[in-house]
Amino acid sequence: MDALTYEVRSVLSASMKSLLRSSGVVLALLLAVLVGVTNLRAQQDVGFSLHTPSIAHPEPMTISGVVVNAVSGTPVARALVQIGGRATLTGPDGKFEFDQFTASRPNVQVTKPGYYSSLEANGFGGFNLNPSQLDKPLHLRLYPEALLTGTVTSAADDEPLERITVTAMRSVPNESGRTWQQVAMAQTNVRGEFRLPVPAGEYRLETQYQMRNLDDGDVTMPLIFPANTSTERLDSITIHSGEQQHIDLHPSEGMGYKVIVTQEPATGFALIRARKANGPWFQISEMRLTGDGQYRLSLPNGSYTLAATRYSPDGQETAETSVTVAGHDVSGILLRFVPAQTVPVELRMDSAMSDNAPGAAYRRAVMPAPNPLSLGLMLRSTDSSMDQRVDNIGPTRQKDGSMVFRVHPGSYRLWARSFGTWYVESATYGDRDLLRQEMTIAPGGGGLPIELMVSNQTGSLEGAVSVKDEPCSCLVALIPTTPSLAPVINSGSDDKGNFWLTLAPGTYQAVAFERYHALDFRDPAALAPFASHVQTVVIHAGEKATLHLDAVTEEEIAP
Amino acid sequence: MMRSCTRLAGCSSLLCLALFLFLACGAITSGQSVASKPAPQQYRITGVLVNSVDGSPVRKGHLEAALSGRGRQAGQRLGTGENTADTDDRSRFVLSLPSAGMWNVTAWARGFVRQGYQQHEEYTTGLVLTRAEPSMDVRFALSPDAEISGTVTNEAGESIRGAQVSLVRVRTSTLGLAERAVVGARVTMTDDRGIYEFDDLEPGSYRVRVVAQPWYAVAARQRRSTTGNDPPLDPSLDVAYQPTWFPGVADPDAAETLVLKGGDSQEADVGLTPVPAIHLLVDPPSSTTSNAGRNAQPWPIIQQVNQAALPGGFMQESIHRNAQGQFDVDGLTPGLYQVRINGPDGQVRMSLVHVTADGSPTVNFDTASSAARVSFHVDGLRDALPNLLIAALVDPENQRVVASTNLGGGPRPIARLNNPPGTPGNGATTPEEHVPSIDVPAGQYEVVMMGQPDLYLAGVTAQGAQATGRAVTLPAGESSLTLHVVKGRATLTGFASFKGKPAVGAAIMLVPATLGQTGALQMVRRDQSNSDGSFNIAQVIPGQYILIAINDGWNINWKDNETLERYLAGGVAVDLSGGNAVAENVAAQAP
Repeated sequence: MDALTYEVRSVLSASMKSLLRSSGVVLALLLAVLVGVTNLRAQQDVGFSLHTPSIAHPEPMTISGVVVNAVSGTPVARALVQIGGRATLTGPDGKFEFDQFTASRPNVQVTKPGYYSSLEANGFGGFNLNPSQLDKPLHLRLYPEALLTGTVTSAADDEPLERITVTAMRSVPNESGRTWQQVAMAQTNVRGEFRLPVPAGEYRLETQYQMRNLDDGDVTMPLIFPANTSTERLDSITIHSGEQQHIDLHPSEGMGYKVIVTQEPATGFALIRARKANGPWFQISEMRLTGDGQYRLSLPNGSYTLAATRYSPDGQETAETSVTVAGHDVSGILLRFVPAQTVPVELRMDSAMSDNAPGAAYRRAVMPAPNPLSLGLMLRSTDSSMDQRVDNIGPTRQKDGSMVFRVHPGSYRLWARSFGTWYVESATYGDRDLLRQEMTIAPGGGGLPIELMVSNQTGSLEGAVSVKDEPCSCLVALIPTTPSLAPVINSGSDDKGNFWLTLAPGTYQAVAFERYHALDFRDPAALAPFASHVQTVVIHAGEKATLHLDAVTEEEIAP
Repeated sequence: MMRSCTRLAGCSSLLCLALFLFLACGAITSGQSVASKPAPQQYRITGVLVNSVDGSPVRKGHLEAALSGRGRQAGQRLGTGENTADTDDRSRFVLSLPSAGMWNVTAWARGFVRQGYQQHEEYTTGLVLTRAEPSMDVRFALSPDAEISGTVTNEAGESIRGAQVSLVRVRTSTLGLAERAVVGARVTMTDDRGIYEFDDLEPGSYRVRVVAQPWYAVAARQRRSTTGNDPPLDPSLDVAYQPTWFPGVADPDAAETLVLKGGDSQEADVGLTPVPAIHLLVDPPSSTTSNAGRNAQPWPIIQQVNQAALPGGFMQESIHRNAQGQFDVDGLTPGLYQVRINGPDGQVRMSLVHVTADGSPTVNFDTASSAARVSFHVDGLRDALPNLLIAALVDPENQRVVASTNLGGGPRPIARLNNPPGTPGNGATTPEEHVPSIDVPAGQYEVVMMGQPDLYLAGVTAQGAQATGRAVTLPAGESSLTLHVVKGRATLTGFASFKGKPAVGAAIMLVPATLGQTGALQMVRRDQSNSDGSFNIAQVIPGQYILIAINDGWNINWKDNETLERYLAGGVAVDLSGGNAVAENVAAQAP
C-alpha cells in the first residue's frame, strides 16, 4: 500500500500537490487514484495518471512576463517569480525574464509580502504552464491583501482594552458546506487598536474570554462580530482585495467571581467551555486546577451552561451542567462525565455483486470487502451550538472487530466517499434516510445501528478538459444530484486534459476549473456564475459515459 | 515623634482627630491600674497617587500593600486580593492594614507603569508602621508608560513585516554580574507596515535589536528542491540580514542606548541591508552517516551565539543534504555559531564555528574541535550538591555571560551558551560521566557562581588552563576547573540617616574593598533605605567592604569607578569576612 501510494504521489503534478495538501480530500483523491489503478488492466490506460513537472524542453528559450496587481492592473515591482527551479525579482516595471530556459512544463509561483497569488482560502497559487504558454509573455497576477482594522473598547466606559486577542475567522466553503478557518490573529495595543491583514473573503472577528489578572479582577467576555442574527447562517463581513474596513468592538467586562467546579471521576484533565444563554461557546482557557479534580474558574454575573470534555482510556467523555453567578463566589458545581454513546455500523453488500458481470471476479479478487473506514464514513456535526466549528467523528473499531461511531447527543450528517469500486447505495438510521436526512442522537439513546447497503455496481466516466480550446491539467468537480453521502467528488485531468473515474450510478453535474476554487456545493447558487460550463452526465451501472468539459478560467473565477 | 507630627499635618482633619483620640485613649488606659484589653490598633497608609511627570492626579488607580521582611525587593510577585485600595475622585487612597510592620506598597493604573513606592530599578522604599507611628501619609508618584516604536525597512525602503524586534533593558547602574545576567529582553514582531511598538515601558535605558531574513531569500530557498538539481540561486537572492541594533549596526557595543523618562515616546527606525549569505557544511559523525536513513536520522541544530545574552533569534536558515552526505546550511551571516547533532550513541555532539564572510566553513564532528572544552568540579561542600548550582563563564570585556552549566544534582543536560542561567538547556556533552562541561571559544573568562544564595565561590584551581582568583584563561582543547565553594554568606543591616533624620529612599551600596583588582570580587550590592532609614542586604559574599549611603542618589552613574570613589571616603568600612549577621549604621551623603 505504501509503495503504491508513493508511486501515485510521485507522479502528481505540483499544482495538484498543492491542492491535495490544502484540501481535506487528500486521502479521498489518493484512494480514487488507487481504485482507478486497480480497476484497470494496465496502468498505461489510466486516464487519471498525472505528469511529472519540468520535463526538459528541447531548445533553450527565453521566458518573460509581467506581474500585475490584479485589482489596479499596475505592475508590481520586486515580486519574486519562481519558474522551474529558478527565481528572480521583478524590476520596477513589474517585468521579469529567464533566459536559457529548458523546462517545458514548469511550475510557476509568484510571491510578494502584502499580496496573495490566489484568492482561494486553500489555494497556494502555484500552477504548471503548458508548453504553448511559454512562447508568449506571461501575465501573472497578484491580489493585494485586505485589511481589517479597529479598536477594542470596554462596552461599559469605552476605555481602550489592551492586550486583547482579536482573531479573524474566514468562512471557507468546502465539500460539506462551510467552515470557519482562523487566518489572522493580533493583540490590541495600549490604545486598544488592532490590525489584521487578510486575504479577501468573508470574515467574522472574535475576541476571547480573558481574565485581566490571574487571581481576581475583571473578566473580558468573548465577542463575535457580526453577531449571530440568523439561525441559518452566521453573518459575516465581506472584504475585497485591497480594501480596508474599520471595525470597533465593544466586549463586555465584569467582575469575575470564583466558580469551583468538581469533575467526577476526579482523574484526567477536563477542557471546559461555557456559554451564556444562546451566546457563543467560549473556552475557559484560564482556569486553575486546585486538586481532587477541582477547577477554579472566574465568571462574571450571569447564567451559564458549562460543557466539558476529557479523554479516558475508553475514549472521549463529556459532561454538562449549569451555573448561575449572582454577585458572589459559587461552589459545589459538579461535572459528571458520561462516556460517548455507541452507534454500531451494520454493512450489507448488494446481492448483485455476486453476479457474473465481466470483471466482477477480478474485482472480488483484488479488492478487499468494504468497511466503514475504506468507505470514508464520517459523522459531521450539524449542531450550530457545538462551538460553530465542524466536528468530524470517524468510526472506531471495537475489541470484537465491529465498527462503531462514538458520539455525543446532537445532530449529524453521515458523509462518505461516493466513488471508487464500492459506494453506499442506501443508509438508514431507524426511519431516517441518511442519504437525504440528518440523524439525531438523543441523550440516553444509542444502540440503534446505522444500516448501510453497499454496492460495487458502478459505472465509469471518461472525460477531457480544455481551456480556451487547449487541453489543460485542470480540476474537475462532480456534484451528485441524486441523493448521495458525498456532496462532491473532486478529481483532476492530466496534462493532455484527460480524466477517468469510477462512479456510483446516478446523475451528476460536472464542472472543471483552471485553478483550484473552493465552493459550497450544497448551495445550489454556488454553480450559478459558471452555468455555461456545467454539464449534466448520467452514470449507469456497468456502462461508460464520456464528457467534454470547457474549464472555468482563472479570470472567470477571480474577475 | 516629630516626624510623626509632620506627617500628620498632611492628614485629613478627621483622621488627625481619630488618631488624637486613639492616642489620648491609649494614654489614659496606660495610666490606669486596671488591666483591660487595649482597643485593636488601627494601621493605615493614606496618600495621593500622582503622575510622576506633571504631578496630575491619577484616577482609577489601584494600590496593594504587602507585609514583608525587611529588604524585600520589588518585582517579586505580590500577595493578592488583600490590603488593596482604589483611588477616589481626587486620586486619594486609604490602605487599612491589619498590623504594624514594613509594608511594600505597589500602585498601578491604566496607562501607567506598575510600580513600588519610590521605585528605582528593582528597589523600593518600604513604609514602616509601628504602634507609636501607626499611620503614614505619602505622595505616591507613578510613572506614565513610556514608549519606543519604529519602522523596520529593507534595502529597497519596503517595510519588513514579521521582523523579530527585541528590546533590551540596559542596567547602567549595575555592577554586579549576577544582576546583569538576569536582564531579560522583550520581544515583539513588526506588523504589516513594518511597525513595532513597545508601549508600556518603565523609565529606563533600552536598546533595540532586529532579527529578520529577506523574504525573497527565504521564499526562494523554500521552493528549491532538496535534491540539489536546481541551478544555484542568483547571488542577489542568496542573501541574509545580520542581527541589527538600532540605529543600524551589527556590533551590540555600537548600539545606541535610548534613555526614557516616564511618559516619553521615542522612535527607533531600523533599516536592514542584505549581505551575501554564507553556507556552512556540516559533516555528521561518521558512524551516524553509515546507518543514516533508518534509525539515527541526525539533523543538525544551528544556533547563533549572540553576544548580548538575548533569547536566541530564531534561525530561518535552510538545511539540506548534499550528494556527499554533508548538511548544507545556508542563509547565515558572519558570527559565532553553535552546531549540535546527535551522535551514533544518541549523545549530543556540539561544536562552535566562527563563520566569516570569506568562505563556507565545514564543521567536522570527527576531528578535534578548536573550541575549549572545560569540565567543572566542585569541592568544599560537606553536604550533597544542591540541585541547582550554576557556573557561568563571563566575558571580562563586556561582562556578558558566554556560557553556563548546572553543576548541581538537578536535571541535566544544562550546558548552554548565552542563555540566562537556570534555564533548562539541551547541550550536554558528557552525560555519561556526570561531569558537567561546556564548549566555548578559547580565551579569557571570569567564573561566576549562581543559583544558591548561601554558597559562594572562594577560588578556582585549573588543570590544563590558567586561573588567577576567579579569572581563567582557557586554551583550545580540554581543560578542567575545580571550583572551591564555601557555604555561609553574611547579612548586613542598619539605619541610614541624613542630617540627623532617617534617610528615606537613599541609595545604599556595599562596595568590595578589592573593587578593580583582577580576579577579585567585583560585585557591588545595593539596597534602598525604608521610611525609618533601615536597610538590609542579605546573602553577601564574605569579605571586606565599604558601606555608603547617598541621599537622592539614584541618578548617579555607579558604573564609573571614579564617580564611585568620590563617595568611598565618606563610607564605613565593614568586615563581613566572618559570614555572620552584622549591624552597621551609616550617614548618608549628599549626591
